[in-house]
Amino acid sequence: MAILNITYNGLSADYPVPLDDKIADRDVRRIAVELVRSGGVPGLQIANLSERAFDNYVIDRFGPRAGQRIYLRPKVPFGAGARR
Amino acid sequence: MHQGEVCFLIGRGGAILWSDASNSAVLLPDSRARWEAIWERRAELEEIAHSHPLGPRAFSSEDETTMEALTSALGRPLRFSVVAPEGMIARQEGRNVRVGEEPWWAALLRLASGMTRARPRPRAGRPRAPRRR
Repeated sequence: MAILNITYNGLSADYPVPLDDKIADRDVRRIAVELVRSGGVPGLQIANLSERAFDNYVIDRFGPRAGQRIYLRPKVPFGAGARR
Repeated sequence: MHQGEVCFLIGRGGAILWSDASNSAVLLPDSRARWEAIWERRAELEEIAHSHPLGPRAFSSEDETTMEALTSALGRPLRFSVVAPEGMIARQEGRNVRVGEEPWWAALLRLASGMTRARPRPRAGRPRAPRRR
């Protein structure tokens, strides 16, 4: 069992989910969209949440494989990139 | 002088709440510590500023997607800004505005980034007549 933490719309909530420890990032994002749509995450229900709501989010994983904590948070890099 | 991108979290009254820096003049990589600093200070956070030591005075595509992600996570709009050699630009209420009178911390952000402010270009116009002696 893993604990998935989702931060969205000013709220941060934990949700215990039976996830494979090797679950891909894209699948974590997809599951998070479904959880938020269905109201599975306490205090965070958005029925019409976009499929792409978490496209610009990253996943941090902590702890042992069993009981892993998975954080879905917004990415925060900035950068000028190559000069235009 | 070494140049690197720098990020400031700005609170009420222009207070610098937190900062971090990169070794690169064109990139401030993703950082969980930066995200935690933003989340922990969200109640007092008003603006997130970063530098483009080599320019441009514009938001990059990386900046755009990061601003979008942060706005959705925090659930409220923030002011974002870029400080570059040629000046400062801010995104406020969905619009980009040139910042004429820079806040006090912009000079500090330039200094920390190893950046100097570019001198304004002379305006195009009629050439002046040579002085008579």
